[in-house]
Amino acid sequence: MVNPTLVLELALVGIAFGAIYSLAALGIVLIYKTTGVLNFAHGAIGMFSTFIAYEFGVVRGWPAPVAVFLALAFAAVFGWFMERFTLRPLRDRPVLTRVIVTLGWLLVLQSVASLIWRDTSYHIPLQIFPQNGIQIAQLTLGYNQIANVVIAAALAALLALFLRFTALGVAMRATSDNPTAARLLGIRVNSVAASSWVLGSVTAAIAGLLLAPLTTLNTTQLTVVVITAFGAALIGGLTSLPLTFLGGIFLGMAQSLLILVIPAQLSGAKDVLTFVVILAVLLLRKEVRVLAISAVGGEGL
Amino acid sequence: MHSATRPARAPVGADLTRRLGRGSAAETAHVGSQTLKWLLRAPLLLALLLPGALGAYQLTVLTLALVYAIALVSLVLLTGFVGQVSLCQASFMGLGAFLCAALMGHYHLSYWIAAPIAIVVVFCSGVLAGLPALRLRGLTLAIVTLSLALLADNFLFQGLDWLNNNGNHWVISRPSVFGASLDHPDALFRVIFIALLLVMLAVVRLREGRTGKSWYAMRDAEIAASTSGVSVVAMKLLGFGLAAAIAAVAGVLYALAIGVVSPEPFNFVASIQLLAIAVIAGVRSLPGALAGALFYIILPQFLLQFPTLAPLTSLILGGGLILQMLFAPQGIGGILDDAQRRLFRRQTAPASAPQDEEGV
Repeated sequence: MVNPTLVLELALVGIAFGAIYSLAALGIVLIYKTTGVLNFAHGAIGMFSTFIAYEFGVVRGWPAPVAVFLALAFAAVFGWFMERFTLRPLRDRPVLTRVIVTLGWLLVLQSVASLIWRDTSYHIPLQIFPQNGIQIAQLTLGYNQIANVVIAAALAALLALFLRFTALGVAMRATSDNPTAARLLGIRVNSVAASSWVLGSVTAAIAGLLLAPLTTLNTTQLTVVVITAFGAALIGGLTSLPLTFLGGIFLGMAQSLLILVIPAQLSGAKDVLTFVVILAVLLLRKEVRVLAISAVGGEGL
Repeated sequence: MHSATRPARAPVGADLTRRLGRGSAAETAHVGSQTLKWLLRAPLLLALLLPGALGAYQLTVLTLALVYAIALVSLVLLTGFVGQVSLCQASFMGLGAFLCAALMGHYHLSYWIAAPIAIVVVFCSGVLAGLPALRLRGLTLAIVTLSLALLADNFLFQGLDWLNNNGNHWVISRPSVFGASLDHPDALFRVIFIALLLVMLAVVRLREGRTGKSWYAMRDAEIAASTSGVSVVAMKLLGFGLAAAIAAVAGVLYALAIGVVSPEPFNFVASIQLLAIAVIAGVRSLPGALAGALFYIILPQFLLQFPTLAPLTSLILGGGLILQMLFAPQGIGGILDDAQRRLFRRQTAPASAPQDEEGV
């Protein structure tokens, strides 16, 4: 008989993971919608930024806020650099060419991180929030978990407000709807692309920073989070931000609850689940999307 | 992607190959027959001379390079000929190696029985993995295959006790051929060399035959091909199956060459590296596959002398990939093909002007 407390606890852990997947996925969708590039290096950018925070916050012992700031600054600069110098020149090339460039960056970031911080050793991630938690009845809620959900939800809401009410946000939506018309109307498509890469990369960094204390910090673990984030983004049809957010939460919970039905020692079951979800979404998307989008009400950024 | 709300972008489909290679099908086939002759001349001499001329260590490195050349041929076939992207080719290689090792370990089969069974099973799993490609293309196929690579690494190679010997490595006892034990590097080199030659000959034959023409037609214009009687479903699945099987050949030979099967060489980074090297070498070119494999194996071996620099391989491949996309789209293979054409002085005019340049 399944213990209801356990189910609830697993679900809460799943939501904490899922919120981060959602955050990472929002960055992927933002970049995809404004520039048409699916960023395979998204997880790698998050991984590298997290290691920067580790380097300054843990190895050198600088204050955590400074380390976090440096990590986010790195992500922002790197996102800008990547767009400006390796993707903008290829803007008129086929999508797959530009995607291959992001795969190249994945290899580069992972390699440089392995060179600097070594592949094998155990890294203590920077703890931004206290590691204990609060007790409600029989449930333990970690501060980490609470913070993840709160931060992810707040950032998603901020992103929505930003896209709706700021000039740059409106320009991003216009570019995503119709790049040619946007350009004809005087929107600087280049700076819109650069901004969305900066924003998207920063979400990757935040996701990495929040995820690292919950998993292991090494050069692979955070890099492959991109697959789960793709899953969430695909649930949102690479279009809808609300559906993407829900998709991330769903994947996080499903992965967490999987332990109830599959023996824990069978590692990699999570990856099977992600694969099945991705495949199902892609193969059934035409059928499902019509339903889903009408349920959430409208699409677009 | 929503076609109603955005103007047509450059098509997502088989753009990679379309942009990287310039040749039409006819021109490539012409290069193919040259490749065939080229294959038959120089390398056979090399195979006879090299084992004597090289030390045991260099020979082992070269043997491994030949194994990876086979793996790259599988990518040339799938990406270059069939026009499909795969980010899980190292996984098929690993599946071949692990299946072969598991069959030998659990049922005490001889290598010569276990290896073909493994290859056939991987062929079938390749066909299965090709099923999504019937409805997906380009970007989404890349996601699916990368997700498959992650699944294979974490679930199969690291997770399934039957397959990975309860988390321990498999050790392969090398068999003998005609009385010569493959523990000897010379014999090992010759066997793997012959395997590479056979695989390349088979692929060149296939490319010049009906199958190859169907693949090219499908790659360049899928709808047109299907209206001309090409069974797109059968041809795509065949392409995926054969590419997986060739990767599995590389896998079982890897097991033979290294003697140990463990998950690390077949993880998702390895798959991306394989695609990177195939793209850098030129995804349509068989000589490019050879050159790429030599580079891919010999570079890390060279770097091994400075152990802290081992991860540099990924840096060089990733950096090479980015720079090449920016500056040299035809790849090493394109350059090699040109050199080869000049070498044989076959100045037949290019069959037709490439018509698929809109993305360049």
